[in-house]
Amino acid sequence: MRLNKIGRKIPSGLFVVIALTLLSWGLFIAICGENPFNVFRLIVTGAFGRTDKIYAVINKIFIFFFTSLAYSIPAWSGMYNVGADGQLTIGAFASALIPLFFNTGFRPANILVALLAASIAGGLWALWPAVLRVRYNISEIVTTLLGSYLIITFLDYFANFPLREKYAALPRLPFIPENYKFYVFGESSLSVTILLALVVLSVVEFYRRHTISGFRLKMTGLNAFLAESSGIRIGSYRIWSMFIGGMFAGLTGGLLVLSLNFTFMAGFSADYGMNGMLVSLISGNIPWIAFGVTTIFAILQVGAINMQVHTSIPSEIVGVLQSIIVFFFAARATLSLKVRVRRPPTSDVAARRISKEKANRRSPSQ
Amino acid sequence: MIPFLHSLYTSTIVMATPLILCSLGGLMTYHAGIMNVAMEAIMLGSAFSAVTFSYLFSSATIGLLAAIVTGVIISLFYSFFVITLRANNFAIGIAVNIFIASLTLFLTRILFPGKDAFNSPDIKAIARLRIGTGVPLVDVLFFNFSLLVYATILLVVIVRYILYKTPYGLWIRSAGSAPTALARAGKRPEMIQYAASIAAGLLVGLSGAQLSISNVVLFSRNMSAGRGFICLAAILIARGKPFQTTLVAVLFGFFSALAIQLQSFNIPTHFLQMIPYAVAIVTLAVMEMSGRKRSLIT
Repeated sequence: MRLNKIGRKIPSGLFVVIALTLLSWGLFIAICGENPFNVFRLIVTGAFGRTDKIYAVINKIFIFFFTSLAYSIPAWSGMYNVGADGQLTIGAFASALIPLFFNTGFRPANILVALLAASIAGGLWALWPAVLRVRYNISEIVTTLLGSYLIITFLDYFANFPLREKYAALPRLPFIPENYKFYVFGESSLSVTILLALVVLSVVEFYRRHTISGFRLKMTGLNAFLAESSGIRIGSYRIWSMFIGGMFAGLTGGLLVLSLNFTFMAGFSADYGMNGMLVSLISGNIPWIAFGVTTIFAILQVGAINMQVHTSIPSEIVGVLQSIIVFFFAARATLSLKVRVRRPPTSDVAARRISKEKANRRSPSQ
Repeated sequence: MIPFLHSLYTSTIVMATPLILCSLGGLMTYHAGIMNVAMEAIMLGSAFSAVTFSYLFSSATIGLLAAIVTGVIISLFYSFFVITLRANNFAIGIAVNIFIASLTLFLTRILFPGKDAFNSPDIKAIARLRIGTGVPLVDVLFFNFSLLVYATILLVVIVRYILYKTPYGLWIRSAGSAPTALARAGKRPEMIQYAASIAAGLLVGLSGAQLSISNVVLFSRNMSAGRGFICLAAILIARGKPFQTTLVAVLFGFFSALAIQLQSFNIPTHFLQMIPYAVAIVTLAVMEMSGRKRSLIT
C-alpha cells in the first residue's frame, strides 16, 4: 500500500485561502469584463453607503444564520439536513396561516404563537426523514431534499387556490395584521431579528461547548461507534438534532413572514436554505464562524444590487462567488494535514459494507 | 382514451430517458464507491451548455458534444475533491450543486438580461428517427423518438455488459467494494474511480442534453428540478443493478409523464408536480423498510 502523500507541500493557511478566494473572484469578475477593484468598491459602498442599506444587511443576517444552524446542528450528530428550504417554507406557511384564524390582540403573545407554530412545523418536517434514517437507514439527503421539493410544491398550491387573497397581484395569503408583525427598533427599519440571532448564537455556542448534552451530540457525529459504546443513545440524539435543525429552518420562515414579507407568497423562497448550507460548509459547522460568514454573505448580497446598477454584471454572480469559497475551504482542510496517512482510497460502498459487518457481529442495537 | 394513452406512452419515454441516462452514469460511480451527489449539478450544467452551444453553432450535434464535455468536466471537478482531497462527499456535492445552479442562472442572465430562461428559435433540437413502417401501431410504439432514446436503450445494455462482463467493470466494482484488493492486484483504485467518474460525466451529460435540446428546446432556471436526486434514489432502490435501475427510472418517468398528461383533467398542476417526488420517496422508503422481501426488483 502506497503512503498517500497528503502533507503540507502547498501553503494552505487561512490567509492563503482567503487570498485565493479573492483572487478567483477577481479573475471571474475580470472575465466578465469588469474591473474587479471597481466591483468590490461598488459592493462595499452598496452595502454600507446609506443607513437603510446597512439596516438591510443587518436584517438579512438572521436568515442565513438560522438556516446554517438548520444544517449545522444535525451535522454535529452526523445527519445531513439538506431540506432546510422545505422546512423554512412550511414554517413560513404556518406563521402566515395562524393569523387568519387566531388573534389574541396581545402582540407578544401573537408573535410567540406564530413563531412557535413555525418552528414546530419545520421541526416536524425534518422529523420524518430523521426517523426513516435512524430506523431504516434511508439516506436523509434524498428524503430531505425530495421532501423539500414536495412540500414547496404542495404549499404553493394553497397560496394559489384556496387561501389566495382575492385581487392580489401575486398568489399569496392575506397580509398578516399589524399586531402580528415582528418588532423593529423605534421607527427605523432595523429589525429586532439581529438581537434574536445574537441571543441564539450565545445559547447554541454555550450548548455546544459547555453542556454534557452538547458534548454527547458532537460525539455522535465524530465517532458513532464510540458514542454508542459509551452509552450515548445515538438514535435519539440524531432524531432530536434533526428536529432542532428543522425548527431553526421553520423559525427562519416564520421570521421572514413576520418581519420582512408579512405574508406567504408562492415561490418566495430564494434558496435561503441552500445559502445557509453554504455558510455551514464554509464555517465548518461552528456557529460563531457561521455568524461571521453570514455577515459577509449579507454584505455581498446587498452590495451586489448596487453593483448590478452600475455595471453590466447581474447580481446573480453572488451565488457563484459564495460557492467558490466552499471549494477553497474544502481543499484547505485536506492540504493542511500535517500527518501522512496510510489509508485505502475513498469508498462509500466499502465503508458501508464494513460497518454493516461490524454491526452484524455485535449484538443487535438500534 | 387512445390519444391519452398515446401521449402518455410518448411522454413516459421522453421523461424517462434523462432519468435512465443519469442513473447509468450514477451507477458507474456507485459501483466505484462514490455516492454521486453531484449528478444534479452535472445534469443542469450540461443542459445549459447543450442549449448554449446549439444556439451558438446552430447545430444539435455541437450541443450534444458540449453537453458531454461539460458533464465530464464537472464530474472530474467533483471527483477531484472527493477522491484526491478526501473532502466530505456530501458537502462537496451540495457545494457543486449550488455552484452550478448559480453559474447557469448567472450566465443565463448575462445572455438574456432579466429573464430566467434561455429560449430562442436558433436552438436546434436533436434529430428524431423519422422513419415509418406505415403501420400506425408500430410507428407509435417504436419510431419517431429522438435519437438519444435509441442510444439510451443501447447504452443500458452496454453499461451492463461493461460492468459485469469485462475486466474494466470488475476493476470498477472492486474499486468500490474492495479497494485494498484492487491495490494489491496492481491497479490504483483512485485512477479507476476517476475513470468511472469520466464515464459518469459522459452519461449524465447526455441526460442533460436530452433534457434541454430534445423535447423542449430551452433552458430554464433549475431545469433539472431534483432529477439528479431522483436518480440517486433510483440507484439506491435498485442497489446498483443496471436493468433494475432502468426499470425504476422508467417508473419515475411514468409518474412524471402522468403528471403532465393529467393536467388536461382540471387537476391543479401542483398536486401533479408533487407526484414524482412523492413516488421516489415512497418507493425508496418501502424498499428499504420491507427489506426487499417482496418485489420483482431484488
